[in-house]
Amino acid sequence: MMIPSLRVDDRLIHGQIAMVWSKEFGTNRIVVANDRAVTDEVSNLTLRMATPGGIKLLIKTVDDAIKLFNNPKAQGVDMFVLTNNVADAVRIVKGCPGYVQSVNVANVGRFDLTPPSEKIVINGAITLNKDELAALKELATLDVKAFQQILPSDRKTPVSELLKGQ
Amino acid sequence: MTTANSAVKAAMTAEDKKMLERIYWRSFFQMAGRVGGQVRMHAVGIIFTLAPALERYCKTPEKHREALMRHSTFFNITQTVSTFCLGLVTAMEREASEDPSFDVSAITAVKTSLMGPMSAIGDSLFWGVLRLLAASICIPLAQNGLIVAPLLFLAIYNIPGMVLRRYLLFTGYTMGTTFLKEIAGSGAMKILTKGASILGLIMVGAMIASNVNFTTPLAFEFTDGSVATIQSYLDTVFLGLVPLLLSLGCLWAQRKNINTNYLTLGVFVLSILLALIGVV
Amino acid sequence: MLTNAILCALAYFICYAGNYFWAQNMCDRPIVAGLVAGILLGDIQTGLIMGATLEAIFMGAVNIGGNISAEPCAATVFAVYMATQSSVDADTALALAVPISMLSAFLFTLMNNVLCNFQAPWVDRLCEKNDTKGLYRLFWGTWFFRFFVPVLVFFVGILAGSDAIEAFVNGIPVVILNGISTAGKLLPAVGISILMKMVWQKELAGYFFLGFVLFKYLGLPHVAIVVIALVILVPICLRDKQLLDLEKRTMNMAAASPSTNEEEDFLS
Repeated sequence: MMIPSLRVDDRLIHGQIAMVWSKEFGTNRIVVANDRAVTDEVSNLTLRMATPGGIKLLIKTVDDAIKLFNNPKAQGVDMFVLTNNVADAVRIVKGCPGYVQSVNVANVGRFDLTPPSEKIVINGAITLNKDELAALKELATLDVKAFQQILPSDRKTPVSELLKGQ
Repeated sequence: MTTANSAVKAAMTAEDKKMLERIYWRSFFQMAGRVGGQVRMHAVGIIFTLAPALERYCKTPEKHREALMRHSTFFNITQTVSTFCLGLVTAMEREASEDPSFDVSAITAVKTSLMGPMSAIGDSLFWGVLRLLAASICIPLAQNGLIVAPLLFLAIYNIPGMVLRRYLLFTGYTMGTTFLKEIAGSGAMKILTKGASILGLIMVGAMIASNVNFTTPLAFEFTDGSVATIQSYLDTVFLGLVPLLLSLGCLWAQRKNINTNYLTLGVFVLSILLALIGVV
Repeated sequence: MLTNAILCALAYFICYAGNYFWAQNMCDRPIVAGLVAGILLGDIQTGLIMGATLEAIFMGAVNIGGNISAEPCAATVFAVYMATQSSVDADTALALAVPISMLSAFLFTLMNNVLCNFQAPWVDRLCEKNDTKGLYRLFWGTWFFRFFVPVLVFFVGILAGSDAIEAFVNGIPVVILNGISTAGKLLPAVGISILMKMVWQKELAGYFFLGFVLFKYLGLPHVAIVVIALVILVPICLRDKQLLDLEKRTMNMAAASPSTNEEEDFLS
């Protein structure tokens, strides 16, 4: 079982994911690993509605997602995984070693509730508060390919480059 | 369900309707100025759109200021479906103004939850299928020199959008999340997506057939003087064989994650080579 | 020359800025931009025809979520300009449009992503001061600025570059131009295949061939194909709805634990 891409995207499933990224990895399974999406009815309903045809969706808390990835029954399938913050992504990478093939830190922190003065702007799509910055630094030390790539035609900017000067 | 809907709709006052009308017309301008670039996207556009609601429900300048700050965060959603979220937000702003214990962070939470998924639905239906439909009908008309063709394109794309926008605005305001539960429960979205995919695939097939053209003037001359063209042989096997194979080849290449810029370059190189050896 | 450059810049502004001004109404798509450029440059027929063909080539150039990979509007205006005002022929101009679109996408991603990001603190300041008038001024000012700068760059590009491009194209041997012209006819395959990938589903793949055959062998106009498509899919959707209702009724009777069922479905 492989996770060809673990994508950190603050909007979870949106236009690009549905139309472009869902077809990129040769798998028809998407897992949204987000604690809030499990309990918040609006998130849950709309994420299900937003899933394109022919794609199977599972919404799990981060802990349950890690359990699923380690589940022997899941060993024959590949999954595209979405989280909405870097800390969750780091937990998943650490929780199922060897399964995550790449981490794409695409869009982060653009509308979390941290006051703007406390946020560090890495670039237009990534703004991090203190905890997220620490998580990103930790991600750079883990043994997994980590980069930012918003569209498949974009260049993959390595996380080490994003963290320059931080 | 219909009775509940009309009951809620009936409870809407004339003033409510006027406010929603103003929001409806303002919503068309939400993407004009992307103030704050990627960091804020259309936040200011949304403030512009919601202004009638904020004016009405924020009774003091202090409350208005808070509302502005609340709505100044990143927001980006497909325009045509944005009005559902905006209608819902308007209803919540009303609740916030009437009930001091209402937790305003719920408004930001709802915007956050709806932004992504509704964009997925809106983009797939409009950017994907409706645009494809409009283009496939109007491209041949334009190629025949009909001036109305581009205008028809705009009409086919925009009129359903305008209707949907209005419906979603009023539904978001009157029914809110109940509407989402109904749609989810009836499975309408899955069925609609499947129907749209079928339509999309048929039209894509038709578009490849009508827009990708290949003919080769190559011909054999037989000893008895009769001539047979390669093109006629190709056509006997399957009409449009080369365009079909090319497009399926491009699809296969993309699935192997080959960058489309390389595919474009490849087509150029291939065509020039074919021209150099006299095939085209 | 100057007049032409101004007309091109105007066509570009009308289409590009006009699209975002109201509803993202798709007037920056080649099929419309071709008409606008044709009207302004005095050759409506060429504009229409080139716009239509470029629409097919750029079918896959979708601007989703604000990130663009190719910018077809500038490319269309430029191609129509080349075809109507210079000695370059229409087919070659079409093929030129593709590299121009990549160039303009690159320039304007720069514009959108780098140049407007600094405004974020301004937004915060205006909100803190409860200054809606100020916000609106910033809003409309940004609209103008965001589109005026690319249009200016486009204007300068045409003034400076079109002669050079024309000379370059005229220097290309005829046999290669032939190849470029063929490329122009085959390029829609690439653009449309991008869209194909987005809508493709293994179980529904047959419908692609249906659409192809309906056009190629039956010669049906696209409107007729749309009608046939609707006639096919409406009963399918209604049947799906019946199956869904049936499934719900059986599930209600079985009342199994929802989460284990869901995971098993997902993994199967």
